[in-house]
Amino acid sequence: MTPRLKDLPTLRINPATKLSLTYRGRRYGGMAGDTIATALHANGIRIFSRSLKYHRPRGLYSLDGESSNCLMEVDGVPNVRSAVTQLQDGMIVKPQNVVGTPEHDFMSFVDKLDRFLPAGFYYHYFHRPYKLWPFFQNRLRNAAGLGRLNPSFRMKGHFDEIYPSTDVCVIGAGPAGMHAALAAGDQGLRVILLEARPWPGGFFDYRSAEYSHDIPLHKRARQLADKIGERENIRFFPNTNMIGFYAKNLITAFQVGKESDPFDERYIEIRAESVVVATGCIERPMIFDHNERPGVMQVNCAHRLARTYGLLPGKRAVFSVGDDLGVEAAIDLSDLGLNVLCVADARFDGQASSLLEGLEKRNILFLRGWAVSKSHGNKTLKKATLCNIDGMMSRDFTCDVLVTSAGLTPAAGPLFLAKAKMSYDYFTNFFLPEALPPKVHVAGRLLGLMDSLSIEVSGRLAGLSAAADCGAPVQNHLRDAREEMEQLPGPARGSKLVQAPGSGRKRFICFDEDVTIKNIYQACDMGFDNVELVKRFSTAGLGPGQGNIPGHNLPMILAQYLQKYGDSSTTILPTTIRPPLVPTSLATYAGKCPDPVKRTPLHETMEKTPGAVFRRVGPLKRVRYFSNDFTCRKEIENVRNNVGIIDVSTLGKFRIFGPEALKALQRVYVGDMSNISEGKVKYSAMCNEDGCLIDDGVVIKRGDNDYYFTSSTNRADSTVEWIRYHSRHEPWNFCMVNLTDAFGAVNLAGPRSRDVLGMIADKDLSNESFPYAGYREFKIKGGVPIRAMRLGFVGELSYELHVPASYMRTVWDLLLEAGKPFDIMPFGLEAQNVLRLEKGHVIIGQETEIRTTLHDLGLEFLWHREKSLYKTVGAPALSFTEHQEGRMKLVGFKMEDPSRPPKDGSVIVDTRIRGHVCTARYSFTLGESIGLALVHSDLADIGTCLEIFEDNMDEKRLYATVVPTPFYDPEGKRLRM
Amino acid sequence: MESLKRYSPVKLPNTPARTQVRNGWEVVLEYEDEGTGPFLVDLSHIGKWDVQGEDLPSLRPSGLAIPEDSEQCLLTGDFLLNLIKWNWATIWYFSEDMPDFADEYAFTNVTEAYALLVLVGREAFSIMEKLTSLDLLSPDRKPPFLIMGPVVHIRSQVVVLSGEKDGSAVLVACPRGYGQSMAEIMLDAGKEYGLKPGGEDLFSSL
Amino acid sequence: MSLTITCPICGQRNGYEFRFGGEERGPRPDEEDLTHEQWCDYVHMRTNIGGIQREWWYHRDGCGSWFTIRRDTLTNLEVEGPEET
Repeated sequence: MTPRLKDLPTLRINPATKLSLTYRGRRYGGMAGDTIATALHANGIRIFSRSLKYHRPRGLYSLDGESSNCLMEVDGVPNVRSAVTQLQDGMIVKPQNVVGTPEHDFMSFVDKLDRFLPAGFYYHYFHRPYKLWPFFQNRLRNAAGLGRLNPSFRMKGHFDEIYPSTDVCVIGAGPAGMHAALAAGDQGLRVILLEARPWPGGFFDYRSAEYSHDIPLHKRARQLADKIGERENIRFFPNTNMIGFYAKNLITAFQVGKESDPFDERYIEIRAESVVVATGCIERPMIFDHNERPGVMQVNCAHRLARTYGLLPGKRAVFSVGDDLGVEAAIDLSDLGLNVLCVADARFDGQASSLLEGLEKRNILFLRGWAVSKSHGNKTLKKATLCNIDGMMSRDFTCDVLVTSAGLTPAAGPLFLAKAKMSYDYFTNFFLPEALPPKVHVAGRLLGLMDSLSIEVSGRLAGLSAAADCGAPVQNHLRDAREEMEQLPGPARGSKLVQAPGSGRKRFICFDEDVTIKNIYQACDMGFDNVELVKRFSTAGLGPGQGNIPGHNLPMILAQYLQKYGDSSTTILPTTIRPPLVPTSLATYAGKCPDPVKRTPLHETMEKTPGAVFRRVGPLKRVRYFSNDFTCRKEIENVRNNVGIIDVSTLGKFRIFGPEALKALQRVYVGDMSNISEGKVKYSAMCNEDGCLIDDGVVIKRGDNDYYFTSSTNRADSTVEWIRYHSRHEPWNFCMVNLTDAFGAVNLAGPRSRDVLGMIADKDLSNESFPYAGYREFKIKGGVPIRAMRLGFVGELSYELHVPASYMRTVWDLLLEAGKPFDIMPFGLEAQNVLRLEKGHVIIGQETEIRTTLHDLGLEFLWHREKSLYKTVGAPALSFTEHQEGRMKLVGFKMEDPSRPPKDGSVIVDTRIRGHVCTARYSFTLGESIGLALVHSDLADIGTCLEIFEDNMDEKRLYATVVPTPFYDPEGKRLRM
Repeated sequence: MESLKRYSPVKLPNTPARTQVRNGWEVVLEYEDEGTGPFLVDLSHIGKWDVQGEDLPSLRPSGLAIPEDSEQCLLTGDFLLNLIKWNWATIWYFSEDMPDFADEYAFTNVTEAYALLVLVGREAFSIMEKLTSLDLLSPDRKPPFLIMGPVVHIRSQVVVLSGEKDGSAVLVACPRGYGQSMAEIMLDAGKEYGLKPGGEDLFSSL
Repeated sequence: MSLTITCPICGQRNGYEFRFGGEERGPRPDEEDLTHEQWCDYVHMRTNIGGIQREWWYHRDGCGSWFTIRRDTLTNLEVEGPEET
């Protein structure tokens, strides 16, 4: 294992805490603070993976995880970005996309076949004859892709979410971001500061260059970080990647948890009043022959390997850079012990004089106007060829590390997502914001600034502007900051070099997809001359690196190449950036997925009742059966012969009151609500504007302008909304209270139900005192106030009892106790389904479709025509459709074979489909198979023969005859007992 | 009459140490091993009234005036009054023997319609941050206030009795049917902060 | 997802708290002399402009009020500011 550099104030590792990982079955040592990639690098591992198409060896190139070079399988999870994932003790790491071993991959011969694999080759090859395409498609699919996903793999870990609100959200905790946060925080505002790395500091964090007065940059970074930590109103989120930026400054991000955190990844959705983007820069790759060989790495990767992780990147190094950061890194690494053979700078001038002096003092060869043109070595780097910009001179250097970049690229992803207007600036060679959306501000290197003080003041300026958006009185501070900015250096000139001289076939613009410069030219030549088209046709930028390696090189290369076609007017545009900015696992987006369940007041009692089988009905849990006999024979027969009891607490219940409550009821109910008698319920229906049935219920008048009414279960949440919607243009004075949850409800049904209720009610329940369709209020056992109504859903003598929810379980127990001598039994939804079917009663949604009117159902008697004054919802449509031809009608039918009911949903046919079966069951009560169906009106007459087709029936058919409904007790004698 | 038991929609997972029967409700005053906080307290049994009508400004329930600004609560004695909009208010009463408004036209007893859960402790806001995007710490709002909005996507009334620095209490009233689920989700969200069931005494002492 | 709507009672809230109630198209027509076509137009036809329209929203997860806002259908954002005549 490589010995680590010691005693550097910039180190973020802790050698005292040793950790270990298993890589390819062997154990290796690392330490706290390491990422998986740095631990592997410390152990001499240089080939991290093999590339997608050509299976070329790939190694550590960047410490910010932009390329698929560093993707590995960790603890069974594929595509983990090892360069940004903190090492945890005992991780099991495996390389990806390797056939054989990373050192000897059996697919590497494909690399030699690149001539036969131009851009978009799969659009041309393997298509003639076309029947061979599926074979080749499968071979290609097997070869493509990086990580392997096991479909039965279960994502381990905890994923949750938070939804903070804030005044100012600052993205990026480098020097600019920290100053922005402090400036806004000083105004007393709530600030959220997001940072992708485990610590704040940005590009000050690892540098020993001077900030001012003998304070090195890294010390300055820690000073600022301490200030951030002291402020209670600044919430700092490290290890947090921003992934989305939406309208009204909604920012999404996810935080990766440390071992001590209760979450593995936490999704964060922030609503901010104003935003500061200070995400700094990534490096712009230098493109040359074999520019992705293991041993080639970015400048800040080499620099941070040493300064942050204590690892020298290699033994003999060549530098090919395009900016001062590169020169600074060479000098610093040389001081730390790296043998720097030479520094080639693509720029002819513009270097800081202190850096030039530094190079001279250390006798480091400096080649002005030179760049690397080729890397050599079988699997890892052995030699580099440098040449001058016009390609006339060249030199070779034997080395094992090539530290190179063409310059910087602003990490402007958040600005693109925010729909800022970005345009190309020739001086900086950056895409800079031309126009920002409201309440969005930019600071730091994103603006092209390189000078430390400029960056800091730009941060303060942005923070103050963001504070001003929140109403803070900062006009004077803003003016001072602007004046200070004017005295400081502006944006720095950027290097324009993209490609070194030379034109080899293996110059890679995209590492993830193995796309070379030649492929880009091929795409252009084929007519794909727009950057979006080139991207898609060549696949450059489509990989897991989210396009950060091709980056801005792609539009620049394209612009240069198109000039050869005489098209010098091409505006350089980057491709569209979309969220997520950083690969995000689906488990993180899914989060906790809480699943709130709605329980009836009887839920616990039901759970304790033997045989109860629950089913989920939307958010509700209700009992469908009380035994394993899903025909529910016992339950049904018991209701018909003795007494049964069912939990119907889910029904909607409402109070409506006020001087114009009646008008509101008349607006939504099709019946006449003005003639409700005392002590009697009024059964009515609600229709939509097309006259189609949407709900039914009963209305009770409890006092002057004071009504209590019910709805079906699935209208419990929307009834208040419906009534208010349809009266929104009226100045009516009425109020509504949703009492659905306030009352539990049970239906006590069967010829002996009166006997049972009589045991515990303090009221005369005789048929004379409490007839069918009556409404009474009384007390149970002298204590519990009950609202009772006699309705007829299941076709027997029955009482629907509305009980205050907290008493519901007690009342149920009392009823069961009282009912013992009468053989009382609970019944569930399926039994209720059959019982009401025998009476021909509809269940909305089962016997009706959204296009089924009252007329279609034979319920037109519910509609009171003479109330046009109230402009009842649905009334005009009921008029218009009354005699309409060609409508579907609801009919009852009896099966030819009494033992064989068709399945619900079976279709009714002759030469075409003529309707469908809504509900059909074998009726124990009648000894026949019966059902309800919606059929074309010409098939609706009594006696018509229906031909029924059930799924998977082939040639067979079932036959039925249309019969009148109700099937059971057509005169309704049982109800009125 | 004695055996007419009333049940809360919420059953918290811990053994009660002390209980009291009140009007049929078995109220847990203290649980075993409550810890030092934060606490989740079930107050579903307290009296709640819905008051609506155009004459709202002139009503004086128990002699108290309904607040004039919506969201702003009036916390006095055992009463919590809140104006939701010009013609709609809520009244909660934290002790037994709540005055009965049954005869008053504008009042509807909604004690049974809601489950009421209380998060007691400074971490209450961190827990709520996981369950809702409602901005409970906005400097524009001064406790005690009531806002209506979704908690875990369930429409709720949220009352912030006191702010972060004053030993917070956040009350969430949701439709009774969701009470148990809401309690379970809160306990799960609060696990990282050591959230435990707490008895009514913890709330009464605030 | 990022749409916010200002409820007249509860203030500015996340769009998911609300249900959309359609374009504002005036009160229900009188039933007298109403033809099929007029009724169908009222129920089903919309202006569907690309631009700022007045529309109804219901605060489902909050106070349960129906109210109108002006929204720019091209940006899908609520428009603040005074009402045009």
